[in-house]
Amino acid sequence: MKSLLLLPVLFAASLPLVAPQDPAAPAGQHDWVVDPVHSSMMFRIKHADSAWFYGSFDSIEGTVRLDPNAPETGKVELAIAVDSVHTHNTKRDDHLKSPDFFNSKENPKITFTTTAIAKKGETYEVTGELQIAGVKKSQVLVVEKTGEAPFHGELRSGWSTAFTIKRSDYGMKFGLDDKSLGDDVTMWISLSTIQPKK
Amino acid sequence: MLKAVVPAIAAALLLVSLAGVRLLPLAAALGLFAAYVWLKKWPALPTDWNAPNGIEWLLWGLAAAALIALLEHGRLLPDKLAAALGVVVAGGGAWFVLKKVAANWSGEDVVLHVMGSGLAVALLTVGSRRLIQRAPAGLGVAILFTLVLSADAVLLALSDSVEFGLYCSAVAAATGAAAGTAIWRRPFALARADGTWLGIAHGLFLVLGAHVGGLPWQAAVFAAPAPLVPLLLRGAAMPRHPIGWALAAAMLMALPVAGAFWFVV
Repeated sequence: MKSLLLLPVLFAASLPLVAPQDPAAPAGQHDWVVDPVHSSMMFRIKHADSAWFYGSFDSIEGTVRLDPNAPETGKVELAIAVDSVHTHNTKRDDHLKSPDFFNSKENPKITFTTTAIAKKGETYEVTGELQIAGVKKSQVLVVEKTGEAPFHGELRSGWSTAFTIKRSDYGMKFGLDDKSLGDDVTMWISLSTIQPKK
Repeated sequence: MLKAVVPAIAAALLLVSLAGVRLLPLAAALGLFAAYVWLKKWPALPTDWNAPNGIEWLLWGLAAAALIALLEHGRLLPDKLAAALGVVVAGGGAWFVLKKVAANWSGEDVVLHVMGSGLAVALLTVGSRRLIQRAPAGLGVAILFTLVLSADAVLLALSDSVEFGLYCSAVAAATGAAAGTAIWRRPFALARADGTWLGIAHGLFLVLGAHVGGLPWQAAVFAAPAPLVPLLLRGAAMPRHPIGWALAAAMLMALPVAGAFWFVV
């Protein structure tokens, strides 16, 4: 019977102790690092089947690799910290982080990793795996390059996209039955990226 | 709320009416499974080691505990082996439930919280089996555990984990509905085997609420031992009639449960 008490120790010892690492920083001519201070992620959802309310995620990290002449070789990796959700109401923010929605303790980040990039006129069609609340789904983003310019000795570029998901696809069904919250969530992502110095 | 409790009540009424209280563990596991599928999604399978999240591991843990209880009810598993397997499922269940969230913890936190949770759930499982063994045969223990699991459900719901509260209420509803079958199907009495799945359900829901949901750890510490308080009294100090026993036990557990609510409200 005493040996059974050692089981939790054995279980604990076999747990992974190291958090997943962030994507490695790129360094090529077409490589960019997301500037979290000047990047934004907004979302809106319908409340009580009547009015939109808006929120944001204040922490975005990631990398962009995109050669305009060979977009198919590109790669985009984004990680958004769920705990940075901000809706101007602390109680609502806490509920959004809870297992009823994003379950931030188990799924601390929303991630997007590309699987294909294609140029479509002036925009890029970026296909990737969007993971929210531990559920991974394929998502196509139409991305526009909004500019490129030197700033304080660094080359910067801007990227923008908007897309709509159904939160129920990601297992977030709280408030759907009584229509206190809608199913469609529209997101806007605007990235300010910096070309790292070689 | 109805999506959570209706399948559990239906499963308990059907299975317990047809084949007696020995099928209650199966009804509780099925009720929880149906509530999760209806409210959330199909759970990831435990064969995909890294896929299930905490609540999904709780669901599979309760299924394993129900299987042990079923085998023990059917005398296919000796008492001591069933108790030992219950302890393994309790300790292992706590580890699996915390697996995902513990990936972001320091080594010290992993050892402290996973080990502490595993030990606590194992003790609750052993204690629940002993409580049922000592309690007078009849509805008393079923009423007590319905109250305990209902209190757990409310605590979870008040701690920004409404869905966890709904899943817990499914298990409470199955237990309560099964006790209700005593109206047309006598006799009704839980057996020691039921202590395994009841202790594991109570313990794992509190572990999940405290570490994955927003349940304050002090509330979990107060609520955890609540059903076992009657064990502190000698048998002669408790009424022998099952309903009287349930009332006395409910009054005894009121203090720790009130303490738990004090930290939540």
